[in-house]
Amino acid sequence: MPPLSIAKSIVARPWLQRVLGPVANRYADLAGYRQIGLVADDLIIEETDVVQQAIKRLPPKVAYDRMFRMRRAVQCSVAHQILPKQDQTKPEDDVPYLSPYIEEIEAELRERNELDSLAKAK
Amino acid sequence: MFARTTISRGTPQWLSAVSNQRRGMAAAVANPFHYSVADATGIKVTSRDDGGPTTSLAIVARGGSRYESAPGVAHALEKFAFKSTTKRSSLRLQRESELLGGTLSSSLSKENIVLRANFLRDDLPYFVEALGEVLTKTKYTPHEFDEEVSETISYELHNHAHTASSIALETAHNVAFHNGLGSPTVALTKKYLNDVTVPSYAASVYTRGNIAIVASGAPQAALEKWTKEFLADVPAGNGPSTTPAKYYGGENRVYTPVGNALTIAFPGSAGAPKFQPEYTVLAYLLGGQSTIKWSTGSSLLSQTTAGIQGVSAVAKHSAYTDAGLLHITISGPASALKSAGTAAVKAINELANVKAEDVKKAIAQAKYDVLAAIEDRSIGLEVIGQAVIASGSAPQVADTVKGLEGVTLDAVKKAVKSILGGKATYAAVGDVHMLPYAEELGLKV
Repeated sequence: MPPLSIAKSIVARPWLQRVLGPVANRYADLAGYRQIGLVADDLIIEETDVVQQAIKRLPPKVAYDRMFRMRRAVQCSVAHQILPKQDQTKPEDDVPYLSPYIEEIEAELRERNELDSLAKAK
Repeated sequence: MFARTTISRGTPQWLSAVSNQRRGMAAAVANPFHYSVADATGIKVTSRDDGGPTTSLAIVARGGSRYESAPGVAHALEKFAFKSTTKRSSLRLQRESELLGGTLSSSLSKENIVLRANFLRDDLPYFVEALGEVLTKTKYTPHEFDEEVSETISYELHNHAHTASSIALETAHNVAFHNGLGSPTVALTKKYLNDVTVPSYAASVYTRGNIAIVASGAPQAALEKWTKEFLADVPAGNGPSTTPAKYYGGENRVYTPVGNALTIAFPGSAGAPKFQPEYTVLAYLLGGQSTIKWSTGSSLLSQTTAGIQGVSAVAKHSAYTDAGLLHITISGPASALKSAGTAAVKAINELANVKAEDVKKAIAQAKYDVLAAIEDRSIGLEVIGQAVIASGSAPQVADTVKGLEGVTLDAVKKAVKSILGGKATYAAVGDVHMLPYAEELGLKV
């Protein structure tokens, strides 16, 4: 279950995004994951069945890149260093690559639950 | 529960249909086995209506392993049937058809991919729509391939690779026809299967000129109407191109530890409309399967192989659009197959001096099987569909029976002469050290 988020309703309103976009970007920069080369979706807790399934569905290249970023980040963490500026994640590269898969799997589970608990109407 | 569109559409049809169909069931149907053919905006629709309470619906697509663009693509496409579409998930489709009491299935042969649905008569529109969605709206997602399709392919491949007689028959086809009809039905490798090859093969196979809607137990007018409505987005086209089948013949031996089998084959007759019924009669003359419990039967093969322990020999005739194969598959212990093979060849040679009453008996058996098959509405839809796609007209059972009745002793002898005069096909599968060569059995390859 993803945390509650108003991000979608903000993105749906361009004027609101114009106002809050820079704030969000600044926040993401301050969060520090971009400095060690990660993207936001790398931070999703992966010890759940849904996320495990989603990781399995990633295309091979995307899965490889994810693993690479994680190992590099662990290395940074161990060495107490941040990456040189050119290797850090740029805001435009910070795209959700995993959440669409998670949403798809959650929708499948929701549908299954719905169909499993059908009741006869009348 | 259902997609919204299904409910709104279903209700008026259901209400109006019930009264009509009650009447239909009570009235005696003039010719229940007659298939009528029509063209619904480029898609051939054929049905027979005996007024019964259940319906069998099939979409036959000319896209079996013979036509595939890369090895195994046809198998993958067949296994993608009833997976998620842009309109509903595969789970929803399953649950909905369960609620209606229907069953969905798909099958693959050398020439066709067949999507089938069996259901109660009133649910025709729902199932036409469901099968239509498979053709144009399947998503072919990579994860469904990895999680479901790939596993079923492996399972069927495992089954095939562990049945010596199945390997022998595939090998015989390969030897007899090389490419095309000779390419294996199951996907032996998944190397060529991905999210590009399968959808692009689907796009070439599921086209208007390349499919036929065949129904048994459905009114033709309703079937045409729903086909026009739900298959409107099937693209125009005439399917994958192909070269005419050519018979080569020859010998091949394959080692496998799973069992032992021999296949002896001869060129047969093409399917309707150029079908020569004497080849079916030949298969029945050779026979092999007993028609009477606890007896070996009186067909040529069962007589000649009667004394050999643990051996089964069965003759069949497979008719394809432009070629046919009369094949005898013998399976059993490797040590017994040499004598069984010799016995089978003896049975084939005995065909040359077959007697008139044997021909009569074989015709009677063939006739029974044809008529029994048409009475069971779920059998034989593929043959009808294949002929309709190829020629635009459906083979009628009355003509098939008439053809069988018209087979004379001379026609049979002529057919025997032509198969014995030509090159045979021979496949030995199993412990090749023990299995005989074609020449040892007296076959000309």
